[in-house]
Amino acid sequence: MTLLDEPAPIAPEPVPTPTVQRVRSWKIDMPYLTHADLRPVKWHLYLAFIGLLLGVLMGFLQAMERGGANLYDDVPVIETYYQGLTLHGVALALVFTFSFANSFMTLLTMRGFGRPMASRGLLEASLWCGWAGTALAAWAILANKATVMFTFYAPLGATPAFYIGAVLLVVSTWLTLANQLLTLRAWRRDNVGARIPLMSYTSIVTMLMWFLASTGIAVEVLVFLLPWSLGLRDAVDPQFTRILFWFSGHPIVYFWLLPIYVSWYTLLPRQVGGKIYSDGLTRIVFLTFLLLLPVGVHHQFTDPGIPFSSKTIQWLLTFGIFFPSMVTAFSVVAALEQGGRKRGGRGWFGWITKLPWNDPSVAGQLLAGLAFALGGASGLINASYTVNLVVHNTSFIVGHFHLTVGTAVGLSIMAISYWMVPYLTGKQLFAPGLAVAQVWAWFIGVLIFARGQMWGGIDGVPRRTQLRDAVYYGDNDWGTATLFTAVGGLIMFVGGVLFFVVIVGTIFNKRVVSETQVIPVAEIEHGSRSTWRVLDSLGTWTIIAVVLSVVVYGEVLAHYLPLTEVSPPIRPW
Amino acid sequence: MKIERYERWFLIAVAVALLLAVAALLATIAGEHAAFPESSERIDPALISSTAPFDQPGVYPRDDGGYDVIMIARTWAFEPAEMELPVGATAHFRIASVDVVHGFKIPDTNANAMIIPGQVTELEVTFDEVGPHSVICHEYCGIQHHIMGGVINVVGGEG
Ligand code: HEM
Ligand SMILES: [Cu+2]
Ligand SMILES: [Cu+2]
Repeated sequence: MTLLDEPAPIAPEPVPTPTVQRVRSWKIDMPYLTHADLRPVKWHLYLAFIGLLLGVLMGFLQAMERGGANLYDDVPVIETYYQGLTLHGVALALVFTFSFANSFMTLLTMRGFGRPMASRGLLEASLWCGWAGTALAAWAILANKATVMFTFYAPLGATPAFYIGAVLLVVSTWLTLANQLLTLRAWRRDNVGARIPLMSYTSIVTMLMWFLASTGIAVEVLVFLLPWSLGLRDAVDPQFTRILFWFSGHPIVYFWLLPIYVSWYTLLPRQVGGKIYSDGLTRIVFLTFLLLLPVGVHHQFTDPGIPFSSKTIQWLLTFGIFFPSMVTAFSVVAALEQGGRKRGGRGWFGWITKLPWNDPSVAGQLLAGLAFALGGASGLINASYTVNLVVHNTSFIVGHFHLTVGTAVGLSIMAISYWMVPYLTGKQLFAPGLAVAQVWAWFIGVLIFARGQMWGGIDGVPRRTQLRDAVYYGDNDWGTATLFTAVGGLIMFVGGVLFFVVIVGTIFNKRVVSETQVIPVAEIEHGSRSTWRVLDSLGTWTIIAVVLSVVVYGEVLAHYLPLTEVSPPIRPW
Repeated sequence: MKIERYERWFLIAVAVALLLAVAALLATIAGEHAAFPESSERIDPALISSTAPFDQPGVYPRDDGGYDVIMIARTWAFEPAEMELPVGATAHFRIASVDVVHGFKIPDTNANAMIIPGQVTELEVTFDEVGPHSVICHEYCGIQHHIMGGVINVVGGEG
């Protein structure tokens, strides 16, 4: 055991490190890492927390608006509902999720391979892109120069800094992938013929999937919107830029989710005393997401410019997503059940109560999984083609994605932070009991919130709307649903505040950890020996994924082209 | 590679459920005529107010007993914003935006569409319920997005 403040050299160093070795006063399960390897992981995570904080503050204002108290004239900086909502979306859907992915996927890649990332330079570059991108986008939004929502549909025209910020955020994720691939190459040289360790495999497929997916937004911004906002291009085709956006905009939800899947598959079983169900199925699930990229048109069922054929094809492909989701439901629940039974659980459901609910990291992820079951069911409704006509762009969708990204992902990130922050700082978790209360508060809040949003949505409540001032609000019977949204949202807000109490308390905790900090890596029940080798040929899968996307979106473009470039930038805010 | 027996049955059940869902949804298109909005033509937003039929927005009876509704969406109003239709009538909407993206939603009907500059959104709505129906812009279109709405009064008897 190492004592605080005592210079402790970090034990065996497999790679020569050019920088001066910094002192760390606590031990971790990766002795081959130095301070310089972990610092970017920590600061990506802190950036995620900043995104969450901004988002939760805006969430409070939105919930209050639903309750009938419009506070936008009273708070500093944020002038309008829509400016606040843009910040909410960007801070949560882009900054929070991307930064967490950069942090967590890097950490687990190093743990899986048993070595540091190949390039310190790329680690730093990714970190700087993340922070700089956030700063630019935040400045643009706070200066009221980019009230365009996180989807920035043309012809709403933001200031160039907003688009540059968005690009930098995406680039930060590309750099993480580049670093993972370099690390994979180096690891393969040293381990000829070995299977890619599951944890590294799933982390790499996550980033690889998003790299392919993000090409849509990259083209949209770099070829069209950025030059257009700089005055180098007169007009764009708003229907076409939407097609590009949603090419990325659907798989972005995989990118929000997959880092959490990595935790649910490879870590959570250990946290509850079970084993990973199957190495092969886990790999197949991740590859399925790589293959199911081209389904973005299901967000555009009500768009005029997209032909019926494209809508039908991509609708049918969308239903394919149900399979990896069901495999996950099966495998993750099987691992949990195994853990619960080992802990003495009996009967059909008795194992559930035996799970370590007093561990906030476990409780948070279990509740997140429960929310995901509800969110998945509502997702099937959204995807159900003509049923989409009832719910599209209503608050039903908002209810759906606060269960999925807001809770399945958001609450899991908070729960993972409860072991990750002590791991990265050497500080004991502050007030673990409060942390358990925190995850319950969030969960109960989101159930009420989503109930209100979904109910309202079915009755026609539009999303992205300052609802209580809407001219049609009084003509419709939306009062009770809106009240649910307000009350549930405020309870979520309390859950969010408690999270920051625990996390800030931990970061500044005087009490340091005494044991070695370990990442809870689970063992595998059906190991990689019986897993098809071809699953590891990432190059082949990438080519198949690209071909599929080109074919499916080729069909869309063949019908759509030529472009109708008619819209100059407009700023109606 | 091993796939648990229970898991295999679980996946087969999922597949069957999905196939049933696909069949049911296709039936909504064939049987109930639930249809997605389409684009009848492309149009330059700058020229809309001088191009027929959008130079004269309004409600026009058709030979088949239905109505043509020619509508313009702009920040922050629909034009026409109020109209009257007889119960049971089918309205054939053609809507174009002169500026940004707008939405078009009528609660309790199948009417749900995006209005995208450059495209003419076309959709059919049948009104079975008497009374006022809100017409709602359900896509953020600027700072007064929430005042963008209209009313369709569906009146009883033969209209
Ligand atoms: C205190 C907690 C939260 C509250 C009270 C809250 C509340 C809301 C409300 C009321 C809306 C709908 C606004 C509208 O459509 O007019 C909204 C939108 C949204 N929320 Fe949250 N939210 C919270 C946390 C989260 C979290 C954790 C995430 C994701 C990780 C998230 C992601 C989003 C996104 C992406 C939108 C859509 C923004 C848009 O339409 O552009 N929210 N939120
Ligand atoms: Cu999607
Ligand atoms: Cu609007």
